[in-house]
Amino acid sequence: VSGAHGIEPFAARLRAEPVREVLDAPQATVAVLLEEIARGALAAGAVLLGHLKCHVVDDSGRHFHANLTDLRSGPRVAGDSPTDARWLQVDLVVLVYGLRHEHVAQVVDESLAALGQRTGSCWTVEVRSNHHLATL
Amino acid sequence: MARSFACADNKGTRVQIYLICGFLGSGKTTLVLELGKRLAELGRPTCIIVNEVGEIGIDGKVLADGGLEVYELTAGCVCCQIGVDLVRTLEQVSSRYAPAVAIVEASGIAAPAGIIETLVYFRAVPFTTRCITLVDPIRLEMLLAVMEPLIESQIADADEIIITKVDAATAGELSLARATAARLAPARPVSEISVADPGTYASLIERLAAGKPEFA
Repeated sequence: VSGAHGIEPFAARLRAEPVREVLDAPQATVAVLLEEIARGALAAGAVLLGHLKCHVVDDSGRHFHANLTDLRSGPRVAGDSPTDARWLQVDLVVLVYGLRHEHVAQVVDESLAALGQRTGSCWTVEVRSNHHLATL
Repeated sequence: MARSFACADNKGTRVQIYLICGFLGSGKTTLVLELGKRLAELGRPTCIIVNEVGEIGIDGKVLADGGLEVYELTAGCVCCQIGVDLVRTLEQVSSRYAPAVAIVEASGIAAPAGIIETLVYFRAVPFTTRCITLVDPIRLEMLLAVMEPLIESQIADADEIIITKVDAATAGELSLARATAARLAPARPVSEISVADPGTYASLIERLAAGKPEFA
């Protein structure tokens, strides 16, 4: 696998200022986010989902993680399930084959916007990383 | 087969290095987490080195959440780009506290042969390596279609194959995984595990944690 079918790692640190829907079910919300990104990446032309994964910490230091490798199996979530968080910090890594990192970033932005619109929550991208631009 | 390496003076406790390979999302971090926890319970000094694709790592955080001390290598792939960092890290850990076990979680795009070749340069203490490759049966057919050379090398160069997610795979997917392991890694042990069936996981973890990597 090389060239247009390569993988350009994309990562971001997100901060969510959630509203009640997100607060009540942060794990489910993050799972939906991973599914949205996966669908968006495939729709944008990704040839293969490598691995979508994230690590989430809330303002009390509670944490959980989630990952997705294929839409049939769906996302897997493990760890604490905070119910009274004021904010969530989400470290997100998206590894998909066949998309340039700027297209992955666009998919992530669109997924966050859609999620925010649906839940009324505010998702901010604090840091982006596409440091390793070499196609692997 | 597992490979044994000597060092200059061949002194020091022989370290068991478990090299955990397998494509992205095959279940490596879950295995490392459970194995690391069990080794800690048994009081066996263990070092965990995680190599991830990209600058920001998630697996290291997940393992640290599980109470494990983790060394992260995120500046490239250990099989082809930052093998020297792996050797340096092993040397530093060996001099700091003599681990009985080192678990190296390779990136999902790593070829085991490149890592094993790199480990030749680790000469601080004698060690034995055992490469364990995890195979996700659900995605195997697709992965072989899209990136056959990598997937085949991960299986062919392993000392042991573990088929994961057996609870979620179809009978056909499991058959393909078993047949692929038999074709590419003949006579190598193959086991099947599922997080949904803790018994399958427990027996594997106990065997590895007890320092008996070989099947009985």
